[in-house]
Amino acid sequence: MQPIPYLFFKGDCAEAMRLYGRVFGAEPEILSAEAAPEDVRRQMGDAASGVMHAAVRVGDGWLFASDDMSANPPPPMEGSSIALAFPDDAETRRVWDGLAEGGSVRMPLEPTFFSPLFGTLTDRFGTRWMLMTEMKES
Amino acid sequence: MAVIPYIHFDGRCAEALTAYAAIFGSPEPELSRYGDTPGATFDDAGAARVMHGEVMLDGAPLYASDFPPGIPADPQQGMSVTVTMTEVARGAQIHAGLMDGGTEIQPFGETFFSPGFGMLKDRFGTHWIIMTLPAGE
Repeated sequence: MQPIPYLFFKGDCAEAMRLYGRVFGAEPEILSAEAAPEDVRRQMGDAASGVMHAAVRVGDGWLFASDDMSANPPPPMEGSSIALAFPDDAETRRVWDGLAEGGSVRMPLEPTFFSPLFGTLTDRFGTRWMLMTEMKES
Repeated sequence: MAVIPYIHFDGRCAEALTAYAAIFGSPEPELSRYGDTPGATFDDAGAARVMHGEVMLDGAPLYASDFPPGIPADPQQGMSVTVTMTEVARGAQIHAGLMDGGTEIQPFGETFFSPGFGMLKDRFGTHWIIMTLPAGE
């Protein structure tokens, strides 16, 4: 069982998941809160709009997400990142460029002692990514 | 390529990953420290902080670190680590183990989409979603 990052957005979950789908070449599954059973929707209150659950395939893994439409939504993603390791620099750069548009670079893509190319960024939806090229076994 | 949640702590990474290993019944976590960095010049407290840690959760990795010495730490927010399992009893056991000193967000129980589901924030600040998905669904 691979642990799956579950991200919370404030109304732009679907837009974010569609971007991730384009970057990673997969169609996101998006389940609107309107699809929930009526009694569940009544309990949800303000949360009964937006995305209830979404999933997108990333490589061999998954990314899960939803909108938190409650009156006190959580602050943006902090204190954690989504880590991805690619086999070569070209793929690392391609994904970096796809996610970086409109976002902010935290650590620019650079060689480090543990990876030939490593960087971190916050995308325009507030999601934090940690991208690297796998170290070649020598 | 796997998608791996990478979570950050403010000095309690080793303690947290060791607790997670005990709760999931995993081997001891692998930990490397900032003091192991080539050319490191941290004081003892900084050198002991975890630069990179890995703990296995039912056979797959969770990554974690402490914020680097001198860098202000953000508390974890806006992301939960989702763990899925086939047995409701196992889900209840993991939820209870993580709840020790933690804060309940949604008590573990049956929902319309899962026979065993719960959400919590543990005492180290990590948010978890525990979801039972019976085999074959």
